[in-house]
Amino acid sequence: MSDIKEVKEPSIYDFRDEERDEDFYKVDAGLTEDIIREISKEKHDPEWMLEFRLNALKVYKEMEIPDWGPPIDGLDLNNIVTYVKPKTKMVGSWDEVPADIKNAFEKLGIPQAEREALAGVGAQYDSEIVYHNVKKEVEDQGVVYTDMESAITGKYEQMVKDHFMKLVPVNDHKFAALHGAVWSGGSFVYAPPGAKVEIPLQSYFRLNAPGAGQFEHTLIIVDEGADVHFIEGCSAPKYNIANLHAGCVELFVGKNAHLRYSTIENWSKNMYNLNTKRAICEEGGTIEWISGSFGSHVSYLYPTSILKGDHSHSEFTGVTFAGATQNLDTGAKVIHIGKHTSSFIDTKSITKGGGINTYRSSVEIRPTALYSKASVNCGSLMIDSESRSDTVPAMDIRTDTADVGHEAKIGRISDDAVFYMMSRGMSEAAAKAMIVSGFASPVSKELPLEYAAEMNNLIKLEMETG
Amino acid sequence: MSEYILDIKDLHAGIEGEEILKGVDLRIAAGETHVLMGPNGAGKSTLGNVIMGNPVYKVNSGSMIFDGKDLTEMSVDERAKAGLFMSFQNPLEVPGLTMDNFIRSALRERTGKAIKIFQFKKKLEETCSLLDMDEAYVQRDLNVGFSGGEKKKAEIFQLLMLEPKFAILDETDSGLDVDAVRIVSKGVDIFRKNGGTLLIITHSTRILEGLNVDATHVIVDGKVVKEGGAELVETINAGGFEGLKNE
Amino acid sequence: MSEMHLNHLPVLTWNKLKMNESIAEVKGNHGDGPCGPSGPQGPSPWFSEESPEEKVIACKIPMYREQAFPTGLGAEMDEYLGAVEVLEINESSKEPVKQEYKLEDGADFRKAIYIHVEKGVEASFVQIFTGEGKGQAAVSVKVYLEEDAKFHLIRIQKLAKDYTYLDDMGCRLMDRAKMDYTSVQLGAGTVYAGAYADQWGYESEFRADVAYVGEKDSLLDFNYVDTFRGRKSKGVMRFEGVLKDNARKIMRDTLDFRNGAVDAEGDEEENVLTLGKDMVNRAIPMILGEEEKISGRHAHTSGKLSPDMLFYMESRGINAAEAEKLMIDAKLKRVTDRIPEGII
Repeated sequence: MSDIKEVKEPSIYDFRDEERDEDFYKVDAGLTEDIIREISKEKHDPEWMLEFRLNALKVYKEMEIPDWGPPIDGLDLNNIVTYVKPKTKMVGSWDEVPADIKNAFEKLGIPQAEREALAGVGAQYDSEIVYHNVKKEVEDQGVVYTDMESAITGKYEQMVKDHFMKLVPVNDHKFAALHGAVWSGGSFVYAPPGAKVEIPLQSYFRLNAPGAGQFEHTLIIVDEGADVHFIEGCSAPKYNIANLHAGCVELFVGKNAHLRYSTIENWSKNMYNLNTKRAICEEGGTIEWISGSFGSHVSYLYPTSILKGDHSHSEFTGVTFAGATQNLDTGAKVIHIGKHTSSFIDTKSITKGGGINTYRSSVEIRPTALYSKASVNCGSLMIDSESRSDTVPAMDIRTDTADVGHEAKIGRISDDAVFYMMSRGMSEAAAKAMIVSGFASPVSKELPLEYAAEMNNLIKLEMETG
Repeated sequence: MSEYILDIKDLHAGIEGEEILKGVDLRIAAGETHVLMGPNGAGKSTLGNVIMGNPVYKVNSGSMIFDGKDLTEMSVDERAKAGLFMSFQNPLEVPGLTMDNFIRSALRERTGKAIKIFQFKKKLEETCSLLDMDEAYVQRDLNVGFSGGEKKKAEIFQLLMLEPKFAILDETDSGLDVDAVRIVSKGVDIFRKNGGTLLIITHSTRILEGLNVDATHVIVDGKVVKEGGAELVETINAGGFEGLKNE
Repeated sequence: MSEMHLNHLPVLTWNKLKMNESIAEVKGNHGDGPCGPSGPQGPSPWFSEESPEEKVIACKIPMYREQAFPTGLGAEMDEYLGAVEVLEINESSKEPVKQEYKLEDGADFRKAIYIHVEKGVEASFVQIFTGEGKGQAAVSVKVYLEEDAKFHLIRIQKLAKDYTYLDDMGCRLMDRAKMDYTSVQLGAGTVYAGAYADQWGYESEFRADVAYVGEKDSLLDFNYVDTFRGRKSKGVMRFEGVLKDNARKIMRDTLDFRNGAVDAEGDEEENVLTLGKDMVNRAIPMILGEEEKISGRHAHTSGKLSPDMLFYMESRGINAAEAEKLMIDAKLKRVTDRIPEGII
């Protein structure tokens, strides 16, 4: 079972447009100080960023690969072209986006965000922002939504410098260090005090070149009393060369601020997704994570909430679907520091076709976190006996005033339910897909309508294949 | 010393940010049976809980004197030791703690003396037979797996075992089967005959049948709006609470 | 003194949580105890089957080190204890085999027992440990239950504060075999306790009930694993704990459903009453599944007496301190109720 073979059957994500190599600018495979300098120069980094990258490279070389999770030996970092830049420049409207890129989006069924009059759309093509548009009403509130490159060289440079990789330090783990050295692209959001962004800010990422890695950095700062919803959608066509995604998301939630961070990840089935996401909440702040993980060959993903301020709160709602060839290790971490902090984790895992699913979490309640509450609820659904599903939740409680509850369940689709639905004329596959969608509904019902529809389509397709 | 066992004056109380009792006056003489009626949300249960000292509620102002003692200065268990008892609408479940052990611990705490097993057992048996209850019942874990009716019966059983001076029965008759109502009524009757004082909080009157009610208080929107004798129960049965508000 | 690596998680997690294993300081060296050095640690005479080949999946190491007859504490405990006493039980008995150990100051008690319960035989076995002064007790019981055998292992530990107690158990259950394990940890400042149930048999049943009370400076380190292999095998693990003062506890409890354990059911639950300001309550309750047609559940609660409960108790005249005592007794009673009357 440790040997996960390449599937032969074409999956719906296997399409790709024939992009020729000359359209791309590549750095040499492998990672040296020269490459880092080259990247930095190309990005027009300020001096401090170059130094930051070089230091991160040093840390990266010293650190070990994690020994407790899914194997990543299929990943040969020395042969990964870490930086690919399409020749397209920043554009201001949907019409200017090149047709082949538009086609790829369309085939992936990405909602027509522009037409839906949604807020700022920053669509990332490979490692670079190719499309960026911020709606006027968002700007009117003083909200800044831009790509990281612009933020770091523009008037928000100091703010970026004060926050960049402060929450996820480069020595956090090997892939955080790698990210620090080669990061490229991503989004920057700053919501000033009291700003209420009613429409979600959206950003699409995808990987679309053989051997390309993607290291986008997302930095969101929500100031006192502000309210933001950010949606990140990921998808990528499939290639035979191992792909690596080591993004980093840092979220700063100010006093009494509220941030909802939604993600649908649907990477191609050969992707190594080693992503790091972390949020810190000041007094009375709330972070809400909505997370759907469907794609990738291997995932390590545990969004972390640090509840620093008194009365701060975090909620994590996640669903992970692991099918054939997939080994997805996902979950959440919460660190309670402030008094009267509270956290809820609600996750669902679905496993089929020989996939491996691990729910992994830790809830830490520090001695200072008096009168805190934490609740963890995880459910696993096994679709067949070739698959594997593990639940590995850790709790570390260091104050007797805390109130902690945990519940986990594993099981299968009930035959009775399938029989009942089939007796009303549904096919077995349709009945099962419907039951699985219902099981995953805690996530889909938290998503905007078009994303929920996309997620249910994904479940349906995943249930019908194989 | 007041002639009343319970003397409440201008009581203002509620939960954080919301006043529920807005100046309640209530006097009850020892040995009497009083009924507290009122529509849903009027503050009936709040009053019971405030008398017993439920920390969920805060007393903002006013006084509550019970048997010569200022209740507002007393902790919940001190009030219980002073002779107060309240039946809970939702008694709590304790797996591993038998009802008989629970009652014995409560008695020991109340009297400050070791309980003589023989006498205790005898009293358990007597009380069981008075209430037509199976003795096996007291060996069960406290309220665990009890039906609604069984929980209410268990509360009445505790009332007779603990022998308080004053009992607040909070909607004890709601949602009960005929058998449970009979046992509750019987228990209440025994408690009264032994000189106990009663405050029965209810919005229906099934439990009051055959009971000698000395006074009725009607609470609407956090205030006692009408007081009278047993006949007031009949008036409310016929006409409801409408119209009482404006008097 | 030497070090023993023990209580390994069946599946690893983040190293920085320091839950993957524990390291105990033990008296002397492996195999130099009163039992003498160990013979071949492999299967005993009746134990002829090959050990199952464990699959290693994605860093999911089934066992830290192979152990022919797995236990909760692990392979190093076997080496440490040395020679094994063999107990054949081929007749049913209502009277339990009873071993009471009263240890004296300076004790270095080590004992390893293999118990073989014949087909259809019903028996029970009681071990009670009391001890004075300072010392160490290390005990392992491995039970092989043949078809339709029923066995109840009861362990009660009331050692003095300055004791280290290593408490190990492993059992293998064949078709329709039933194993009941009741463990009460009331003393010893340092406790390492492990149990491993290997449910090979069709319709085999395992049940573990554990009560523990941690007080000043004490350490309680658990590793309980129930592995389901047989069809319709059932397992229940219940932990009732109290942590006072600055007691530290780590509970590893795993339901491991192996491929082929069709219609297996597992249920684990831990309820911890936290009564010490500086206590440390750590838990990692795992469910591992590689079979579809199973059902597993885990629940964990941790906290003080709820305000509602406290109000209810106080309204009957029971003050907070007394209410806590009642709750502790209630928790212990839930476990000691599993012990048949007259045994202790």
